[in-house]
Amino acid sequence: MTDAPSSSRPEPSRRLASEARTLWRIGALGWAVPLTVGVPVVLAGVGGVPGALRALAIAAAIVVGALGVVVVPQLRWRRWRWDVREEEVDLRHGSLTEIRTIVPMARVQHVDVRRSFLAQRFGTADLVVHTAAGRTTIPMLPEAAAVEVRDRIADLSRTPDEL
Amino acid sequence: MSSELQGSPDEELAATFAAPRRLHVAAAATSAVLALRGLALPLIAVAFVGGSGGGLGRAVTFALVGALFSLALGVVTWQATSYALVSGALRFRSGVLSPDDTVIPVGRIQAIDTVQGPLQRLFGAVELHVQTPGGGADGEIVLAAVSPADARALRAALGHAEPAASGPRRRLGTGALLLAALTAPQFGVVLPIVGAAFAGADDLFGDLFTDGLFDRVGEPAELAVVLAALLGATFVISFSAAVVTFAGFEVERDGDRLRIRRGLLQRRAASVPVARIDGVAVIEGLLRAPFGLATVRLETAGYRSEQAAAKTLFPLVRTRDVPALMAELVPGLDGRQPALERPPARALRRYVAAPALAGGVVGGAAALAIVAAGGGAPAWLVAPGGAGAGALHGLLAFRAAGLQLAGDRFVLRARRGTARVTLLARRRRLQEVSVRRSPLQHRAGLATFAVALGSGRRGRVEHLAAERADAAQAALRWQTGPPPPRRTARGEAAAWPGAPGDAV
Repeated sequence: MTDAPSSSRPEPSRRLASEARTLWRIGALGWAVPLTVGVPVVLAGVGGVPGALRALAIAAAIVVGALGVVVVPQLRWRRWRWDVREEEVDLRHGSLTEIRTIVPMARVQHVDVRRSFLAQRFGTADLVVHTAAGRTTIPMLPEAAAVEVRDRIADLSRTPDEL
Repeated sequence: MSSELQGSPDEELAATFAAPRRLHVAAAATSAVLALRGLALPLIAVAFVGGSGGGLGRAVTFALVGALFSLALGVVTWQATSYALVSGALRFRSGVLSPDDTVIPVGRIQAIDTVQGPLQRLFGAVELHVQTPGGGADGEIVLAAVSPADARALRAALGHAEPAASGPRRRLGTGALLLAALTAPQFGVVLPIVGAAFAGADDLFGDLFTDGLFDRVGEPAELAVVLAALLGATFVISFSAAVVTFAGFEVERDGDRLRIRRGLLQRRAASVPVARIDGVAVIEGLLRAPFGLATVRLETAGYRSEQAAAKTLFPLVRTRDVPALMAELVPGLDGRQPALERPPARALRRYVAAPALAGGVVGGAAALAIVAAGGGAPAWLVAPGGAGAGALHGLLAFRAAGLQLAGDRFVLRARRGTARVTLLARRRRLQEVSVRRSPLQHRAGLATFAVALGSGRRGRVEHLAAERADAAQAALRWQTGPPPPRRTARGEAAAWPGAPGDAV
């Protein structure tokens, strides 16, 4: 990771639940399976496509599907870092494009913990931080961590402010 | 100033509102009009579909019945509507069959806005919108018509009296109004709508142009006439829309509140607490920038659903007069533009390449279409023309882009569409700050810096030097206490190490 020389703010260090990779993989199956099954089926139905082109298209579908299921979730999980400090929520994520986001604690309006059906089975939850400008999500935290952080943010953001 | 008068509700006056009161009779007329509007479509449907024969006589009968029914409904509604001030809360009761009660504690009232539509003007009444923090664009309680005397008394009773004396005030003169309308940025918004209407008309009345509009591009004279008509219609619409919206625009600061009045057919008066202003956006549109003119927009959390006009601090001002305007109307938010931290020279290529390519592709497609339709070879010039326009856009975007942290202000400038937008925000009101690097930017050591305000406005500077973007993000810290500012010779806090000094 690169370090900004003049930055006095520490880099975020906490990670998402390790189950996040599995959950993202399950999610990716939702499009990867139709893709890898659909492309050969459609090609067979159309007919008249040269053999080499057909093999290439099927190979491409399989590669894209495999990347989406195997590589991207792993990469995304490895890149995700977050921290909740006294004065701000700090996120850094992105598998290709890297995004570092700071949300000042004084601006937080409320916090949600969201648990989808699948996430509950894996004991994870999403933390959603709401500000007047919109919301910021830290996905796939271990449930205990999500609840702890929610309470912490609720506590910290209570500090009165001018508005 | 009159803040004392304004802050405290008048107990004596409040007592006079203890018994439920009816609205002004004009309210009967307004609800009759509303009812008629609701009835119009079904009535027309019944009149036409309900059977053949009768013709005009039948239509007139239906219209009369509809009008009478609406009038009766309006009167009944008016009789069933009342308001009162009971134990420190404004109560509003309305509804004939299922009366609704709305109660707002006086302390929760954030503002009382006045609207005067054509009907209220006819009756010499005003419409009051009682705003609460969280309420929608229309106000939690809308008193459709109140006599001016009652309105004054009610305002005083609720602690939101209209100021008698005046603070700093600015009005938009007739010349400025016409200039604002001439250079209205709505032009770009209206053009596609009028274009679509033309295309629709072309489909309907195809005979007018013998066949479809675009089948005869080969005839330049005809095309020119159609284009001129299109632009003319668009211009008339956008011009009159701007005049209707901003006629009589007037903004006044009364202590800690801004009062903004505007509108030709419908007079609107709104008030905004100065403390709720997170920042302003100085918007220099395509037609205004060459004359050094701009619009100043208010950025206020919670007014997000309002239309753009409702968020205007001033519709037309010389860009160099913005600091004076701000000092008068929004004290505490400096309107001067500091020297900005700019993208490095190596970013220019990135600013220009993408729009030039996009312009070239669009231009090429247009040229292809024209040539295919039988246009001459010169049509191919459209392609490089598109690329050139794209490149120019990119160059202007590069020259506009920049940001700066100046004391307690955060300043960000970027090009959005054809306008240059300078965001002057209170630094502590920023809702979110992010730095983004795509893989390509990463290789070039560049990054994109973005902020979000509570008003929903987002500002973004592309392709800053990555370490500068990080430094800017690092400098925006939110300690609980005020940050120890390092003062420069000019007295403004230096933003971050190596940042350009504050020159105005």
